[in-house]
Amino acid sequence: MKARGFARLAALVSCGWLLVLGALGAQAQDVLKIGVAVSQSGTFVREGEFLRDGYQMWADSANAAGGIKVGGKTYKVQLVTYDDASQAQTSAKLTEKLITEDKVRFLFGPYSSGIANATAAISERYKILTIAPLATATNLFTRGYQYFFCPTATGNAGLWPVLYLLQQVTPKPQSVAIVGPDDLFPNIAAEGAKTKAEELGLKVVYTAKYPKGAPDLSAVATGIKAGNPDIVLGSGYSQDSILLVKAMRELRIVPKAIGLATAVAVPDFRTALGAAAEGVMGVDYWSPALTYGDQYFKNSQQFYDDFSKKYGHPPYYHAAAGAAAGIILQDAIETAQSLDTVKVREAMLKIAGETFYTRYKFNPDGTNSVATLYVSQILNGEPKTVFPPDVAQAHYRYPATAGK
Amino acid sequence: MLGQTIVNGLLTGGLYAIAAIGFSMVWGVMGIINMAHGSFIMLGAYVSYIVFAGLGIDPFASLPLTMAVLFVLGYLVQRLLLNRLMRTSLLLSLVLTFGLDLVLINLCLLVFSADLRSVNTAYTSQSLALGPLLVPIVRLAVFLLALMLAGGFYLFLNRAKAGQAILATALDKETARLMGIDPLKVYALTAGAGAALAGAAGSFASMLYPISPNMGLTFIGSVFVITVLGGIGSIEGAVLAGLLYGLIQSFAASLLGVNYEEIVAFVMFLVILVLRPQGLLGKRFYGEPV
Repeated sequence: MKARGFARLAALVSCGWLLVLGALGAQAQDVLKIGVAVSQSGTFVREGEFLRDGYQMWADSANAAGGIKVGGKTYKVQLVTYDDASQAQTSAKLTEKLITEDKVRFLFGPYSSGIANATAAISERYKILTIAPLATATNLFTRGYQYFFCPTATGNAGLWPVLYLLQQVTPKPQSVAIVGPDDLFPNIAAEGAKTKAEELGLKVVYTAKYPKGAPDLSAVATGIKAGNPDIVLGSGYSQDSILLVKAMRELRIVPKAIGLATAVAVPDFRTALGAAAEGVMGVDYWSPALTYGDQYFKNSQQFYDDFSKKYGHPPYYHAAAGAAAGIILQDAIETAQSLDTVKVREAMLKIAGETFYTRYKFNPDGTNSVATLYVSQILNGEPKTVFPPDVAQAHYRYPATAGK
Repeated sequence: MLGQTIVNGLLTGGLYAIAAIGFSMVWGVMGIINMAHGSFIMLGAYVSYIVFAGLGIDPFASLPLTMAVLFVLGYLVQRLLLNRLMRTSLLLSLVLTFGLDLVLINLCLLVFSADLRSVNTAYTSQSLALGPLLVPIVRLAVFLLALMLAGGFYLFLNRAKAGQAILATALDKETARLMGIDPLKVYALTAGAGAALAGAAGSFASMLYPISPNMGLTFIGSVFVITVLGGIGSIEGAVLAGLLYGLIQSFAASLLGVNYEEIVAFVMFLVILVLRPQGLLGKRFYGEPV
């Protein structure tokens, strides 16, 4: 069954390929092939499709502008895309196939760190440079990989921007409680927040990991109340963050700031909490309100509009991250003036700039040293970007409950 | 801190108790472990939400309606589906109710999407201060109503004719039949009542927790433990066990850390299975195949 499905897929792909060859044959133009193995079925179908469409947005924009210019030649971008079915093993196999059979020069990464874990080992072995904008697990970047880059902030930085923001206020907050569900990413974000908070001189008065999907968080709120912190940081998802804020309100816990590693801008969050959402800060990867820009998208609103027009539905950050990956790769290739992996890697470490999605300047380990997560705060019932200052829509309110 | 821990535990325990009674009853009387009980709770929450969002009626006020809707659902599920495989095997009823659970969750995902909904009333998240203790108003009301419902259901079983018929059928189906009781009707009545109580729990939960198609899953584990702890089929047992379970979780969280909540609860579950398999107040004949 599987084999037949695969054969059919292969047949389809080769038919498509012949058509493309036919179309290109007349012009005999140089083509730069980039491999993409992302999830188009299975658990990550939604995220994977957004990511794929984001890569395609960049490819189409680059081609519409003439293509990528390297050493007097102009290359049209062609994405070779396969479905990894949300399986790490499949993704690894497809990555090998992309490199050895399709002979792609570069790779774009899959969705999720778990899958990227498997593909990075393959691409590294073949020395093919990969930009994986949504593989943010910190441990991917401690293995000495040479050719694996992630423009998005890694998981341990999930709550840092709130801490940075709170460095600007006077009097500075003194103490912090950090809580979150006992799950891979929340744990990484909570650990990262704890380390950073201590580095910044804050006293961590209470930490708790509650069971994932815990129906009730009054016990956590009681613990926070006993610690009486200036700041409460939550590393959880929407549902438990809502529970946490509710439970804190029930016990009349009023910290000077609440910072969450979840998007407070989503309507769910505000309608679920009503007045209790006021003043809460949340960290997110991307929003259409961001005002960074690049050669294809002058700001995030333009990307939002272009994407919506092309695909008939609005983009999430996955798509934005995908398009940004392409823009950064193009910058590196054009800076290197070569398609050679080693030269492009050297260029990756040299370049610095911005896309509509994030600023970039890469560390040798493949992480982006200036990756910009942003903070939004619910002010008078509306989410407003309040940090970093250069893209802020409104001034943050601190203490969060002031003037209410 | 100690006082607050007790208050938290007791108030949460009240909700757990009402969530468990229907499940325990259905298991005790019919020998069916209703895996869809969590979904019934979830549906109760959605009914409350719809009535609140559409008509602005408070979930406390719409409680009878929610319970009625769920009663009909439970009754129909029993008549049309479960009665067909009564006394065939436990496994079949597990498979059927598990399947039903998946169907209900996915139907709700289709109809309502996975978005989180909430019921926000003027008094949501407000608390009464009793000295140093804070007692959240909604939780207190839920606690009191849960105890009243449990008491009412207890009286129904022990005083009303229909309730007596349920108990009689649970004791001895064949003799009950000789006395002119139609077991299939009694089963449907029991299932309806169980679902109605799940609906009440859902209605309460709608005011405390975010509503989503998966919310029933967070209850079913606790409901299982409480049922076994209290004694299968025992209402007073479910109430006692619910409160105890709430307290134990609350103390485990405050003394050992929040991530020990569930570990302690399930260790307790194992200990009971070993030491007192009939539960705290379980009677010998409940839950046994008759």
